[in-house]
Amino acid sequence: MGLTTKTVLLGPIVLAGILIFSPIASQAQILGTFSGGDGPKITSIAIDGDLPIDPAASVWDDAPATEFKVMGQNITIPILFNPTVSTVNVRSMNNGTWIGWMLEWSDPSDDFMALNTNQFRDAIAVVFPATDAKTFIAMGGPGTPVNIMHWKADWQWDVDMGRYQDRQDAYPNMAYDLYVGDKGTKETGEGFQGIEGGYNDPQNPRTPVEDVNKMYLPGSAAGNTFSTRDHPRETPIEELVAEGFGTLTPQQHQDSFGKGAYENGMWKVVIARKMVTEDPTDTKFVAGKNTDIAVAVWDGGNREVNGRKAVALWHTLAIEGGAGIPAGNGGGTTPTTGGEGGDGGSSIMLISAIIIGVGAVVAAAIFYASKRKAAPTISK
Amino acid sequence: MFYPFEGVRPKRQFAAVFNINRCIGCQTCTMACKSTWTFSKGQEHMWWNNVETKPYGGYPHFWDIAIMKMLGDGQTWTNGVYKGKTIYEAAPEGKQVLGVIKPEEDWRFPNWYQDVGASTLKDGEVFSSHADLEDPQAPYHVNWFYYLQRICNHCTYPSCGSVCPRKAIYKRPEDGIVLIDQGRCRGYRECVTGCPYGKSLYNPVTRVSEKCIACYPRVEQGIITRCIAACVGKIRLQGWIKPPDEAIPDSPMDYLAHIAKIALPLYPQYGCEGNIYYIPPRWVPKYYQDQMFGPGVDTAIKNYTEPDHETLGVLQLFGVTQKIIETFRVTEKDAIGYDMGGHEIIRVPIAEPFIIRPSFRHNTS
Repeated sequence: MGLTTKTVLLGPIVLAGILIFSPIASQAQILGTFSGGDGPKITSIAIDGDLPIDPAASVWDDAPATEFKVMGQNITIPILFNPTVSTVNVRSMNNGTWIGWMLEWSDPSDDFMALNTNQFRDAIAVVFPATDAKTFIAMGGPGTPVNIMHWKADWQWDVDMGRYQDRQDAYPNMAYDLYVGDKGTKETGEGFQGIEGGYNDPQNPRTPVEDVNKMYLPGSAAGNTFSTRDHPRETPIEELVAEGFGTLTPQQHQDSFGKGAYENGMWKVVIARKMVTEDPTDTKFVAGKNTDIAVAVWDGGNREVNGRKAVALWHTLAIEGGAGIPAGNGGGTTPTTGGEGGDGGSSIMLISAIIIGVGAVVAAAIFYASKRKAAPTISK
Repeated sequence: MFYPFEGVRPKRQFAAVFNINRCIGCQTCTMACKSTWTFSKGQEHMWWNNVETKPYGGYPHFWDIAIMKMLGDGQTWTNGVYKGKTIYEAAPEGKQVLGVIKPEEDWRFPNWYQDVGASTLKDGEVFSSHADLEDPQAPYHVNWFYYLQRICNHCTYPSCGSVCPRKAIYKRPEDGIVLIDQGRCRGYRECVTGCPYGKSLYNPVTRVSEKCIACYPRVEQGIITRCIAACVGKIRLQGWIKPPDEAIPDSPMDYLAHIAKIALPLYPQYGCEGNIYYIPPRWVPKYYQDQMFGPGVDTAIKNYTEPDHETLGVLQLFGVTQKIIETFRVTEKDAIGYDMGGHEIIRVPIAEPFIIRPSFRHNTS
């Protein structure tokens, strides 16, 4: 365990040390561990017309691809030592109202199911600082949230098939007598014998089948986004917000759309969202204003899940305006005007942001150190 | 021992003692649990309670052997103190605990290898309930198996909770029951890998994980869990347990585990401090039991087979009431159980009254 503890502590402490004792600004920017730096640039080109969520749409060829190098996540447990994905190509474009990203990466297997105990989905996420404050690459920090849009291969399957992945997709020849509250079987596949129309409690015949169903699916009853079965899944993208490790939370408003497709050993996934939404925890994308973007990718076939993922550091996302859309007035609802904020901001902004950033790392280090301290030593 | 969170004990700790000697492997407990909690789609493979035949059986398959192999040498005790590594100290780099991902196939049977005994029979031999024929004085059988009744241990140091990156698993301060927050879980299956007892399970329909909930809606009302209530062999007793140095003499759990020392923890070397205790089987070789129950096996079997009056009294309280017995008292003739308010809830005679009636007719003639 010693080594593991060290690894966990080392990450933030080394980062903090570098940030404190080196020529601060340049190092912080090169490291890409804090947003607002001068990371490799990716441009979201302005287009006129609809933004396609189909990754095969030819419009995407117009957007320049930027290669994001990803490496195994090694800041917190669980760590990924052997990622199978090493690069993700990212393209972006916006039409003034919508902004989208097209992500391409090679993966030897399309793992689109999460139906067995040791079966994990392929997934990819884009992450942005949720506010203007500089934030830590790994899940943000207290007070400096990150906004995440997370595409999942099994959710894509749900959307494509118009129903939820289910037991019979893992075991096509399964048969059963009765599940309490099961909602019929017409759409659930051949060879699947069930009671059409489900089972209504004879003591309470007016109980809606949907309610019975949900009641006996604990995750659904608790409102878990993974477990919902109230209506066909509308989007393969889950929007989340996080303020540090272990705080990842689905947002109340789910505003993202997208589509992923696997072909010739490559996943191509589009994630799109309105540039400005009404959700206060959503990142606001404003033409003419830079923000930061990073990606994380999971290869389900390599049992990658949660912290075991391949991650990129912060890149600078330059959002072009144009094609009749005045810069800085992208969503039409933001009070920010073009030119303000600029790229990188004034020196005062930069210094204060770095101070906040260093604070976050030190806080993270202290937080983890204190966690360790708090653990008692117990002899068995 | 290293544990990644503060070691705060709950106000009270859910616990139970299972008497292996009395189990007939009927799986009534298993079905009671199944029909109460895991009858829905996605839960087909879930047996929050199961009874497995040792040494070969296991649900999931080889759950214990796999971990013990990985823990390796040094799983020994000196003067009652464990000298080896727990699953926390033996964690590989990049992980919180030592664990294995169990494949789907390993979750198929709640009692695989049912009634398969250890040792092979030679030609012409039959399985014998007699002790070692070559050494009639040996306290154990040559051919043996026994049933191991298993639910979640609701550990004092739950490894499932320590590995969950979302902190979606919590231990209730009021009763020590360990639960997975069904709203926060994201189906990462770290707990499925990280529970050395194999009692966290993945639900593919809700795509999140579930586990034994110790029938908390019943426990909250002072009623014992379904598996314990349904046991026809009366092998189970539920209560509350304290650490050894704070043992309450009239608490049945504390008495059996800490005072009479006839109930032992399951795989104490894991370091999770499970709260399901077992009265070890009399007929099984010590070398096998030592690795499963730790260093107290000899004492436990001795104190169980030669019980004093008070121990005999407490043993009568197994399976006699649906209510949780908080405290007990043993009189000359009776064992008495009390609820939280100190009210008598059960009174059992320690010895059945022996009555000789005069013969007046033969029923069959």
